[in-house]
Amino acid sequence: MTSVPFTSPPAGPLVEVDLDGSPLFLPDGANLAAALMAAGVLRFGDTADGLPRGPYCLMGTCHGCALTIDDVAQSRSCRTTVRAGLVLRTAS
Amino acid sequence: MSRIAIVGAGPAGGTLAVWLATAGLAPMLIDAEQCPGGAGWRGAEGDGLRRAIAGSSLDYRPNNELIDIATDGRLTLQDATGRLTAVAADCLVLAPGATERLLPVPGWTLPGVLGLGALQRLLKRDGMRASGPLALVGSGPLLRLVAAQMIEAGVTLSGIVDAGRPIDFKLLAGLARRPAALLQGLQLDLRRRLAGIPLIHGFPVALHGKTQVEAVELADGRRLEAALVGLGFGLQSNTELARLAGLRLSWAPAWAAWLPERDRHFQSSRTNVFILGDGAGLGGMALAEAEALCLAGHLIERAQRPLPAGLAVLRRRAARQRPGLTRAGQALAAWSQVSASNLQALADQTIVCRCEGTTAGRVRAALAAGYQSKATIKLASRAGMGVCQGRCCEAGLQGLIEAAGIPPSRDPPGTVRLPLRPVIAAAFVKEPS
Repeated sequence: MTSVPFTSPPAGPLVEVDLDGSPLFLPDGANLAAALMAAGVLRFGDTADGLPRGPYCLMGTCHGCALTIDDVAQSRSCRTTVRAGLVLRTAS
Repeated sequence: MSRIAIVGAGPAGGTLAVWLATAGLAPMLIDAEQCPGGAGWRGAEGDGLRRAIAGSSLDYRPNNELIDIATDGRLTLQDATGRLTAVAADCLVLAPGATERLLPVPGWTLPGVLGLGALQRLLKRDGMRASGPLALVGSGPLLRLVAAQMIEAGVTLSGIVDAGRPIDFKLLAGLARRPAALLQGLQLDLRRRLAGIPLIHGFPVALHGKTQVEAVELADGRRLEAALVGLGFGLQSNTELARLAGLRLSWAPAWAAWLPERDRHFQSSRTNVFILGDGAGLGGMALAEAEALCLAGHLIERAQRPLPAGLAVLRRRAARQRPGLTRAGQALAAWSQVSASNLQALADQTIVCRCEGTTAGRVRAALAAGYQSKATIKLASRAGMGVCQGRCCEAGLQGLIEAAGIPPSRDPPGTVRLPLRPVIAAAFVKEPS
């Protein structure tokens, strides 16, 4: 996590999720990929040659936003809604 | 009674669904998004459609991606939780719209590099805008539109890099058929000038950063600071549903694209499979809506139902507007095109396939070894074999092949097979009873 390149995170009461073992508070009901980026998470995993990767298209096509979500690998966070208790793992 | 299924709830599919429902044909409307409007009518311009759908009797299935179109017309859908459902239809209307054309740029896999559509989506849907300097790289009208939207939202733009072709007489002549669009274009450019944002013609560029993007390096070595980069080289017709359905595609020189064949009632090479809007040739929202009005009239008359009040007049007007809108769409599509020489200049180590990490150098090596089509280069280099199923590298691959002297008209698009999107294996397994 470095500087957050976005202002104004999506609205909603904050709920706790688990990102790689650490608690993170995100707006309930928001788009997960957008909420993570607004919280300063830009690296969602690594590319085939080990470089950091993140969301690109935000419309379900590129899989740049893919995470392991509640034990399901390659889940597209841009097609997931934030709810309390989500367990998120950035893949490598 | 016959069952009509419409895939895509944008200006084409959404408009058609509402009119068919008004006429009592009870269509099913399937859409991957959470709410109707498609990519074009995401803002206030889609409010009318959303109200009409909410108040209609149609069977609306949001959050459902199409996974398969079987030869008997059965459709398999996947909802956002990964659950699969099968639905039957004996008349299918595909309205898949357009997708962004992605082209490889050195450093484009860095976090903080987003598609132009993604920037629009974050702004309109999530209310999120760039806090640091934003640089835009790409081509065509969408590049300018997004720039204007970001200026309007108060975002600081460090610069716009245009890799497209210069504005010429042919483009202006095409645009003259849509004076409103031409005027809007001039207004967008005036706004950019007033805001003092440089528009730079020159390619290739390179994106730099350690853990996330920090700067755009221009062709002449200058740098634009960038906490975020928006990247987009225009739109292209989304033909994957047409290919999945086994429709016949042919090379359409006016659009410089492989497009599904249609008759004058929008019927494809398969009986009772229709295709509407941007997915059959880029024409934008106005043409998509005009086509939907014409097809609505046709399908209602074919079912021997009376036309709902108002549709006859709207259909006549739409039919009159279609030729002009089509030519304007072709001009706008040509404006976004990036010449193959720009891809020829791309450094060998540039990643082309984001999923598999295939570089431009490996694609060129495959070309030098005699592989001459996307399908064979895929096998030789793994470009297009990853989880996005080639959607992100197809245009780049095409450009590199073209740069090697093989025209795209000689390389038809590859086969599309089920599942159209990754599916959880458990969804295929039935519990033993």
